[in-house]
Amino acid sequence: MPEAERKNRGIGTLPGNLIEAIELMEGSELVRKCLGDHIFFSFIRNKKAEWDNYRTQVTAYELKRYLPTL
Amino acid sequence: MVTKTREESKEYVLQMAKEHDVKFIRLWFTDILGMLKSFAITVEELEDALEGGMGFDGSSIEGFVRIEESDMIAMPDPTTFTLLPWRPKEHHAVAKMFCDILRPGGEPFEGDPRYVLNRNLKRAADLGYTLYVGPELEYFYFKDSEGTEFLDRGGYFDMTPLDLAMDLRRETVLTLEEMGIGVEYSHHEVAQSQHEVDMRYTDALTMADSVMTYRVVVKQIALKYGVYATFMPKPVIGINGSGMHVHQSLFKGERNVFFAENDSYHLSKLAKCYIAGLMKHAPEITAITSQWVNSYKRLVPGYEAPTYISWGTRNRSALVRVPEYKPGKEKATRVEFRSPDPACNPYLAFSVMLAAGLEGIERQYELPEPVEEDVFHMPEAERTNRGIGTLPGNLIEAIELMEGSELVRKCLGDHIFFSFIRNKKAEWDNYRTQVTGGCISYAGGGEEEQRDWHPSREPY
Repeated sequence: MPEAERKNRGIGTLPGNLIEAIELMEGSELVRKCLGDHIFFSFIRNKKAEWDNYRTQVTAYELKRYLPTL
Repeated sequence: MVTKTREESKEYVLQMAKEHDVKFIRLWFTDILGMLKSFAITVEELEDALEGGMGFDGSSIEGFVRIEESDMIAMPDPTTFTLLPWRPKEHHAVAKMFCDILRPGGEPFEGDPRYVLNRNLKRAADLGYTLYVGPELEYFYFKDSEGTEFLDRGGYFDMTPLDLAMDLRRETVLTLEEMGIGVEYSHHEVAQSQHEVDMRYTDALTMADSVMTYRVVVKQIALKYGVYATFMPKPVIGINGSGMHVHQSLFKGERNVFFAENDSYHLSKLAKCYIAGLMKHAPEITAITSQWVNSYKRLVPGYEAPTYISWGTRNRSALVRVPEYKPGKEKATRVEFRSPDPACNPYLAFSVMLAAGLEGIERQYELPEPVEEDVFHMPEAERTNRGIGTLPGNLIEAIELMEGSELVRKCLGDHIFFSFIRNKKAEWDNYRTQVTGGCISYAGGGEEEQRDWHPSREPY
């Protein structure tokens, strides 16, 4: 279905990656009340750390591309 | 007077070339990504080249020109003439000069980073200021360019543990000095196989040229010893990356206008505005000072590289640090901007830092309170409360911030501004499709990676 049609018919999308999902959760009163503050905040902290760790991995692609030239 | 100096320099170059039996002269210039470009002329061409420059085809140089306007002129700057000490010296020696790039009609080419820096320095000069900079470039030695095997830990080089790196540094320093670049000190850095040689501060144009020379010299000497030197910002996960902290100050004539006797930090109002400018505009200039996908692997908490926007005096997690004042050292009063890495284009990096600082001065920005605590370990809520912002987390964020910046656009000029953004978006797309294409392959791998992060060690 073309993007425009999805939009017209009000079909939303799920978050595209973990950090988007966490940021959406962070703004959610529903999830916070449901989980309770303890789990809510621990979970967010943990998942942000996971994302940061993923984001900062040096990939083989980078070594192949940058190491010989920089 | 300036013309006379140029005439004198030309005479000096011709005389030096003769005295040292120079046969080849390399003409050096820089593309928008800070890659050194070079072509050689013979000594027979030297006088003509000094007079009218040398034509070349600029169409295949990154960020230069379209095919239909490819004729460019490289106009050597005779004040940058030096011999290349690693080439034969006795007979048929080789020398180099940095060049300004001109259009065929003789007007400066706006795609030349050296011109951009000159234009920004002129703006400072019109206000009466000279920018002095002292960058600290860190780098790694590896066994070769294929991987990240250290020299001073394990494996192949066990036989010569520390000596080799010391010899490398010693020869690097001596070579730099032979090329007229003053060195203050050199030392082994925090990480294994990581080193730093600090050049003595100079005016910004001289220093941008020196940074280019430094990178060549470090690599050249490594090559001579059969190893590989790299300025890649974060080659190895889990240890410090390589930064290029840039110490900077503004002078009026002989007087350092960053210094103030009666301030508790010994900083003038002007210096404080300059710092505030650097801080406020840090997010939008980061694409220039940290220009590679890999640069953002360095800008993460915990490895002495800044991720948050704060300033302080002793704080190594701060973006801007003010080194402590030592009595009698007014001239050494300076601010240290800690986010850039040594794989940046120094001409453009110095330009955007200066533009940010001058904006702070012209608009009289208010300097926030210093932060002396470790920002890395400050809870997010406290950072937010204290108004501590963050640097962009990856290249595409940085590029998008730059894209919206009038300051950067004016500083770089449209030609470089748009070429740079186009180039960097392509780099990001390429990376993104490689890494999310389903086959993520980490450089570290195995044990290291597992030690590095485990969900159960996060707060529960």
